[in-house]
Amino acid sequence: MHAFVGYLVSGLANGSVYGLLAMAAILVFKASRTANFAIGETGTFSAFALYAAVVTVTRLPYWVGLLVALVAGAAVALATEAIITRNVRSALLVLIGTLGISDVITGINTVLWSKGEPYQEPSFPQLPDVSLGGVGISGQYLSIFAAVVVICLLLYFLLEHTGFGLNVRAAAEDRDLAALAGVNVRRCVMVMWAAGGALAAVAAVLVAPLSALNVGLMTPLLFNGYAAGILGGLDRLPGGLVGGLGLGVASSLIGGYISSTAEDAILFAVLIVLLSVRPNGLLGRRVVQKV
Amino acid sequence: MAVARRRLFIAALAAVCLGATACTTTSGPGGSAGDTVGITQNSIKIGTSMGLTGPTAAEATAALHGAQAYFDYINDHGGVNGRTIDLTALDDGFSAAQTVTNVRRLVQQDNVFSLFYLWGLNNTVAALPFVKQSGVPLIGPQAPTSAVTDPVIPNVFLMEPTFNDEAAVCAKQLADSSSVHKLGILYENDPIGQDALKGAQDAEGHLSKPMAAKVAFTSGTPSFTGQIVSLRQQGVDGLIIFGTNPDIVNIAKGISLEGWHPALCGSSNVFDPTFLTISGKDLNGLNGSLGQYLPESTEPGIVTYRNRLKQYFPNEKATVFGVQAYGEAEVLVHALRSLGKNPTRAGLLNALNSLTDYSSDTLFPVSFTKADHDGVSQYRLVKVVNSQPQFTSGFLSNDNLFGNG
Amino acid sequence: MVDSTRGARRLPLASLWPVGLSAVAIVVALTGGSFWEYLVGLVLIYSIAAIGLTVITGLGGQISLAHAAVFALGAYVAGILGTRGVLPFPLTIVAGALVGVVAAAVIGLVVGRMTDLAFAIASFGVTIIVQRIATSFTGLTGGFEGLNVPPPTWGGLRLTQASLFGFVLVVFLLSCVVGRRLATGTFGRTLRALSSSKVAAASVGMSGQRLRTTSFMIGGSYAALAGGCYGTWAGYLSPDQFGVSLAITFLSAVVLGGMRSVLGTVLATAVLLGVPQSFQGAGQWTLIGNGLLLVVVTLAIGSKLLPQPVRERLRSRFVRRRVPTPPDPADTVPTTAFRPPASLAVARQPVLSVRDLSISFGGVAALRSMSLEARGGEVLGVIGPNGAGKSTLLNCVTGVYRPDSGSVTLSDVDITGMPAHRVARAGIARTFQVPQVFSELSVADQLVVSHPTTQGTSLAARVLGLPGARRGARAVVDETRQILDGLGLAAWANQAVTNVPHGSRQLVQLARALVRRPQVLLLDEITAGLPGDEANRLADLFGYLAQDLGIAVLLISHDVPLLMRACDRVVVMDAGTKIADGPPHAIRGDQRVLAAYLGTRQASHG
Repeated sequence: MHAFVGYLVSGLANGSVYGLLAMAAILVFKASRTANFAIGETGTFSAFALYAAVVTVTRLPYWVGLLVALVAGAAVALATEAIITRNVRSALLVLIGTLGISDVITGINTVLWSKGEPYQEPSFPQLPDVSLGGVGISGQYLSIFAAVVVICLLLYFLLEHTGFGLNVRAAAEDRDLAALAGVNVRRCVMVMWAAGGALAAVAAVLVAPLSALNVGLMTPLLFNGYAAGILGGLDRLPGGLVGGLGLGVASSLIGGYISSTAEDAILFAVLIVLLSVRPNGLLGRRVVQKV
Repeated sequence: MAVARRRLFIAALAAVCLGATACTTTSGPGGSAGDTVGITQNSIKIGTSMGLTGPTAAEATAALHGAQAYFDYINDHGGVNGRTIDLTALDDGFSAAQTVTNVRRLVQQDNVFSLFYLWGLNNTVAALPFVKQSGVPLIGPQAPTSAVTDPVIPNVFLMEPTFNDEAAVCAKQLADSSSVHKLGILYENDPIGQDALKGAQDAEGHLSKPMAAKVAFTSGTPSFTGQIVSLRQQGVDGLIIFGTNPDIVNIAKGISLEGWHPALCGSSNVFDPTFLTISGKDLNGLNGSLGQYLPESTEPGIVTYRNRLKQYFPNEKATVFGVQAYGEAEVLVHALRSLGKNPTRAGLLNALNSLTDYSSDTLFPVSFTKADHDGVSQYRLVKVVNSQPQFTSGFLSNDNLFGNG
Repeated sequence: MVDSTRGARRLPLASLWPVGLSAVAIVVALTGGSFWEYLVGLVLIYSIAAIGLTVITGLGGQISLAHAAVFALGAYVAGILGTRGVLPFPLTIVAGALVGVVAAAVIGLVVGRMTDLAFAIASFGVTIIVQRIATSFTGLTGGFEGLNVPPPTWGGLRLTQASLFGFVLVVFLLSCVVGRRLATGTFGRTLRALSSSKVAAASVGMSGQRLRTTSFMIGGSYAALAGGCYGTWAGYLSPDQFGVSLAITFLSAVVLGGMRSVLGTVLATAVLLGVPQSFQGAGQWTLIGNGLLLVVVTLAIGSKLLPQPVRERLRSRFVRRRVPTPPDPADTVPTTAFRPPASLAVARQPVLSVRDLSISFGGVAALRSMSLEARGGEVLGVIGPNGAGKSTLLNCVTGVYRPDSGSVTLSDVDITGMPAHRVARAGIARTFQVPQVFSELSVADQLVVSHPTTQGTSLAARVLGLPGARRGARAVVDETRQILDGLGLAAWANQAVTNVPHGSRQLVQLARALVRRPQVLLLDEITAGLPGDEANRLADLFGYLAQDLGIAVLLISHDVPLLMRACDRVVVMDAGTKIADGPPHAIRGDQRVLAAYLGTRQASHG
């Protein structure tokens, strides 16, 4: 029981991070029906931006640094959108293009930062550590959970209860129709990309203090994030959270109870089976073709 | 018709390009197996391949500068019996496939006399079949794994304790502690972790305490609570951890969070002082072993290393990898010197095979025999105290630790 | 005239580039010394795999990261069999290729149902799984430490590097020749059709699942064959050589090569492998440069940033699509009546009967117990206000939607709920309200890939150019030309369909439907966007199709005058069901029809 709680805690903490990246992926997908594979490196870039703002270049308070990181993430994502997605239609080309952008960002991160690696990223204001069933849970994980909850509520409120959210949803549903109805689709798309970049920044800023800030910080998490998005269903924002937590907990339990060496192989095998049964993900709607 | 012409044109263009590149870069007979390849009137050509770009750029560059600082110093002081050491360093971006290509190029195209250092465990292991077949000496790969030393490859020489050995030492150290009753190992699911696991398993027979749990982990995972709680639940109170540094900090934090105080022992990479300064107090008390002096040490040899590094690469800092590569450069130069005016590959291999307790500036004494190409079999136990590494023993070898049984 | 004759009429010289490249490879390997021989061998081997991915990704539009996994499978199977002496040398590689084909088929079947992006991620998972298998089964694969593959022997003799090079070269040559045939032949065009519109592809009888699986098997055989060669060539296999970065290298080669050019892919592979050798010492900038290269090429191929003419030139250079000047619209207006060939006549007059069809979306009933019957020799009009369920009816009949209840039969054969491509094969052809054309193909090729003869000829026969296949191809081209002539589209035949004005795309759709030799023709708002006189000519055409050729024509339209002129009978729909059925003049006076129409009109104006 004890160990089970431990696996659950790990799974939820990892899953929350995957979920944040998955939601970033979903925002981009809803905006442009494509993927931004540079999102991981965008996050790493933002974590370095925070480090620069709070530790090396200036000594701003943490909250200002966090804002700097969010803006950096949003700006990089917007630049990616402006360079690649706005100009290229084909999903494959966008994918390759964003992989190229990802390489460029990694290169820039390496040039700027690799010399003094690793760094100690300033931590998100600590919540107290708690104990659950004899298992200690780090305040840092609690911060992650809290951030995820706040972000979900915020996104929910913005999308479901504001006029702007209505526009965004309309644009995501049917661009042409939304444009006809007077929605500024361009702006909606940009906002969603920026939000995706900011989410990636949040994920990176939360993960970095757990270990050590380095150029490869987000690389191992990117595909888990995308896998989570697809597991949950790319056309629904809550799908990202469900997919993320599901993936996190499943991988933790597989690692704990089946095989710690074959964890990701088993995980992906399960994922493939699940997706072949539900090609649109757990929460995804069956796509009704309009012809 | 236009299409036809264009395709022909492209093909012809490609032909010209490829042909031209091939011609300009071909120098002399390719890949001859001669014994004095790479030796000219006034230089000895050696080559290496490292991840100078990509995820390991900073560490690899620091290592390269360490070695180059020594070679530069030697070259400025008359070289090796009148010949300068000419080191060609190719970048492989830490990709093993690229390392193989680079090593082939160094041997077959650039005609190096010897290969020196190679960066990365996977990378080195991938290049081994070719290195073995070519017979070109490979001195001091940065690949401390038993795959390099066991069985002995006649032309490959390692100069640091393997992860395999380190894990065995860890197991023994923990098992000998009176506070430990059950051992466990938490290792990264990669070649380093696998080698460590093998070492710990091989040592099991010599231990007085049981190895209760062996758990693998994936690098970069945000939370390790599950593995930690499970290890604790299985009664482990002496834990061996092998993995990359960021993961080890995360694991150590998780362990102290659980209010758990097992005896810890980790891989040598943890004792990198730069890293320990940012790791906080959670790594205090962690044990391990080292086969080299620390870059910040006040040992005279290390001071010499730092001075030369400052002289030739003023912007480079002293690192564990720099220390290692510098010392290996010294060993290579020492062996080459002993060959007199007419160095040959066979001569180099012989000289190394008879090297006994050679003390370089930065490494622990290096010895090779025909039957043992793991040159540094001595190590010192080390412990993290106040976020700094501290030696806790004199020179030891497996014979000391495990007895001769 | 028509694209598919290109292969036959082109100078053989143009197709000799694989030979030219091979000659270059030999020269470089001979003069460059053993390192260059090794590197060129690697380029050839990676190229083989990348050509396979050109089929899957460039033509089929499926972003596969599993290519590295299949490559690894081929390498390990060949390597293990060779090391243990189970099979003699070339057979080990054949065995590896076979295993690769089977694996690719499984990947195609299991993963192929997903949407593009999901597939990309799942295929990434496949690569992880294979990598983990390779690390776990230490006894077979050597685990992390890897597997040494000794140089193969042939009749007791060790093969030299030179003879292995020869072997690789032969495999490469064959791969290029077959790859080119696949890419430029009808199979390649069929895959491009599928990737440009899945719905339209199904409506002309293409089974997406089957085509995708086939493309995976072909691409997989390339990858596994290359993998087998790789193990033998490099002499060493380890799991980390076959990770996602290898998959991305293959993808990059396909994209840099221009997506569907075999030659381009080969040259791009040479660049990708050659760059790290040429730009040693550039430090971190190699990574940035690599990334920028991908970005620039992506933009060059797909961008709207560059001015149109530059883009077209680049595109034609990369994609090698010929861009003939569009015809003068004045020339394209036909002066005579539309008369497709009489050979399209049906043998026996069909009956399409729809009974009690119902379907609802999210609780909203789109069809409620809808019934109607369309007979050969008759033009049946379907009319009704917006949202009456006309298009839904069409989609239910043609298998785009699966009805909740009710039945559809075609001449007593039950086709209810059949997938779209099987409905099409049963003899029902259709057009779409918003034209669904294969945007990557020329107008003539829309018809060529849709022709039952093309689809019925085996792929092997097409690739090998067997006499039967050639005869078939000629017949297809003839019939395509007759139909295009008959609909006044002859001048557009070799134009990219994207150059065709919107209204005329309806005619392209119609031509594509006719080439299917349909028994039942379902037309959804076909006159939308066409000038009035065209509509008149169409009305005349429908009469010809029904009365002279015996086809059952079902016409959905808002164009009441057209329906009155063209139709023998009209069915009126409202709120998902039939409210009237009868000859046009009878319908005209029907009160319910008026009410339904006027009611809706008022609502939509208010």
